[in-house]
Amino acid sequence: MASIPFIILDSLVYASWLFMVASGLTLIYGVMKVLNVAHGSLYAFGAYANAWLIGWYFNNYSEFEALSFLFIPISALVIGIILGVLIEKFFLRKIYFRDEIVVVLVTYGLFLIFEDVMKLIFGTTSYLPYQPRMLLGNINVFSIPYVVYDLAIIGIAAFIWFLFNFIIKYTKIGKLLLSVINDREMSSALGINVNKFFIYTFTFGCLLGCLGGAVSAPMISVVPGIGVEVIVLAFAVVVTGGLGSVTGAAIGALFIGLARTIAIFYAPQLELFIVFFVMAIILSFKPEGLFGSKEVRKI
Amino acid sequence: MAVKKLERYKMRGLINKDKLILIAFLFTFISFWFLLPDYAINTISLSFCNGLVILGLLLLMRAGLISFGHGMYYCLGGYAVAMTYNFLQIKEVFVLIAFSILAGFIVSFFLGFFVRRFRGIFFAMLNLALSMILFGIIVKSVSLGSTDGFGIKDLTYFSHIIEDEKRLNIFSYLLIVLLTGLMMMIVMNFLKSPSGKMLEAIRENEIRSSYLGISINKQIHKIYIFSSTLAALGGGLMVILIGHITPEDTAYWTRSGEFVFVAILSGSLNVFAPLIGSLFFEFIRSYALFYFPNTWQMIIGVVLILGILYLPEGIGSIFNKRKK
Repeated sequence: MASIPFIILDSLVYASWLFMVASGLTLIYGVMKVLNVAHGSLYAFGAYANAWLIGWYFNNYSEFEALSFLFIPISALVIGIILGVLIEKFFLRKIYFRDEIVVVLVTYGLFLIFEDVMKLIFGTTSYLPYQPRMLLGNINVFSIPYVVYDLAIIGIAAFIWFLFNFIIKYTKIGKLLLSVINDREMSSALGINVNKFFIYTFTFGCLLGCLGGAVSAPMISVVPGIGVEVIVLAFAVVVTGGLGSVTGAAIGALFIGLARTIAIFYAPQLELFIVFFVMAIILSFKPEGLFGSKEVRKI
Repeated sequence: MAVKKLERYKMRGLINKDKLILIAFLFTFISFWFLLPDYAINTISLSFCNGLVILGLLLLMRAGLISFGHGMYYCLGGYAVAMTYNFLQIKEVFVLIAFSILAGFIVSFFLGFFVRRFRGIFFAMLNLALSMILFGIIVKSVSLGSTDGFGIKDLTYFSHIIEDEKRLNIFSYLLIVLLTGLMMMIVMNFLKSPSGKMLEAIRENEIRSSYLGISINKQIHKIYIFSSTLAALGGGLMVILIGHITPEDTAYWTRSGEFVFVAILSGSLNVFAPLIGSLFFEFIRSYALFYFPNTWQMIIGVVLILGILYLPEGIGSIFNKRKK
C-alpha cells in the first residue's frame, strides 16, 4: 500500500487535466445546448500550436528559456478566439433551432475537417516540446520525486474552477449568463443580447479547450489523432458530472481520474474500460449525472 | 381470373407498392453482379452490410432516438462470427450468421433494461460509452485478439465448401443482398404494424402517448433490441465479406459516428433510404480515398455539413422540429 500517495497525486494530476479539457465542453453545453465534438480538434490545435511555437523558439534562440511558458497562453488565445468565432458565426448560428443531435453532427463534421486541416498544416510527424517541462525540474512530495510542471496543472485547473464560480456568482456578466441559461427567450425579451452571450461563451469554451491542449503539449508527444482520444474522455467526464455543470465536471473528473489511476496501478488492461464503466455506474443511479438538473417534462 | 386474384392479394396487403419496389430493387442489385466490375460489387456488398446498421438506426430515429454507439453491435456480430469460426471450427455460413444475430440479441436484451431509461443526448452518449467499454475490453485482452482482431478463411454454404481466393463470390453476394432484402421487408412490415406506428407517437409526445396507454420503456426496449440485432447481423455479414475484423474499424466511436452520419443524411422516411445513403457514402469514401488519400476525412466532413445545412429535407422529418 506504499503506492497510495502515488495514486492520489497521479489521479489529482490526471483529474486536473481532464477538468481543463472538459470545462469548456460543459460550459458550451450549459449555455448553448451544443455538445461540441470539435472540442477535441481545438485541444489538438492548441497542442500543435504550442508545440510548433516552442520548437521554433528553441531552434532559434537559446537565451530566456523561461519565455517559452508565454507560448501556452498565446497559442490558446490566438487559436481559441479565431476558431471559436469562426465556428460560431459560420456554422452553429445557422442550426441553433435544429435538434441537438443535428448540432452534434455538424460539430462532428467540423471535427473531421479539422483533423485533416491539422495534418495539412503541421504534417504527420510528431512534435516533442519537452523543454518547458524540463525547465521546472522535480520536487519531492511525500518523499516522491514529482515533476513540478504536472503539479502546476492542478493549480491551473483549480484556478479555472475558481474563475468560473467567481464570474457566475459575483459579477454582472455571470448573473446575466444565468438568466440566459434558464430561459433564453425571456432574457432576450428583457433586453439581453443572447447572440452576443452565445458567441462570447462559445469562444471562451474553445479557448479553454485550446488551453488544455497547449498546457498538455509539453507532457505528451503531439501526433495526429490526439483529439480523438481526448474528446471521448471529456464526454465521459461531462456526462458523469451532469451536462452543463462546471462543478459537476470537476467532481466527475476526480472520480474518473481516481478510477483510472487505480486501474493503471493494479490492473492496467482495464485502463480504458474503467473510465466508461464509472460513467455507466453513475448514470445508472443518477440518469442526469452527478450535478445535472432534471429536465422538466412539458406536455 | 389472374387479375382478380391479384386484386384480392392487394386487398389483404400481401402485395403492395413498397414490396414490388423492394423486389425490383433486389433484382437490380442481383443483376449488377453480371454487369459491374469487382470493385464496385465489393463496395455495394459492404454498403449493404453497413446499410443494415443504418436500417437499425432508422428504427430508433422513428422513436426520436439516436445511438452514438451502434458500432458496438456491429462489432459484436462480427466478433461472434470470427470467434465461432476460430474457436469452435464452425465453417457453415448460416450457423455463423445465427451466432451473430444471437450475440446482438442477447447483449441488447440485457443492456436494454439499462439504456431504455434515457432519452435524447444521454441515450446517444450512453451508447457511446458502452461501445467504448467493449472497445476497451477487446483492445486490452490478448485472448480476444487485441488490436489485431480475427480473420476467417474458407466457408461452407450448406456444407458445400467454397475455396475461393476472393472473399466475394456469387454466394456471399447473394447472401448479403437477399438477407438485407429480407430485413428490409421485416422492418417495412414492422413500421406498418401498431407497434411501428407507436414509435412516431412516442417521438411526437412521450407523455401524451403514455397517457394513451403505450408502455414507452417497453417499446423503446423492443426497438433497441430490434435495431441492435440488425446491426449485429450487418457486422456478421461484413466479416463474411471481408474476412477480417479489428476493434478499431468497428467498435471505436468514429465508426459509430459514421453510421449516425449516414443515418441522418438518409433520413427515416422509408426503408430504402438507409441502403441508398449507405451506398452513396461508401462510394464517396472509396473515391475520396482514391483521389485524395490525405484529405478524405475532410471531404466527408464537408459533405456532412453541406448536407445538414442545405438539404434539411433529406434529413427526415423528425429533426425539423424546433427547439422550445
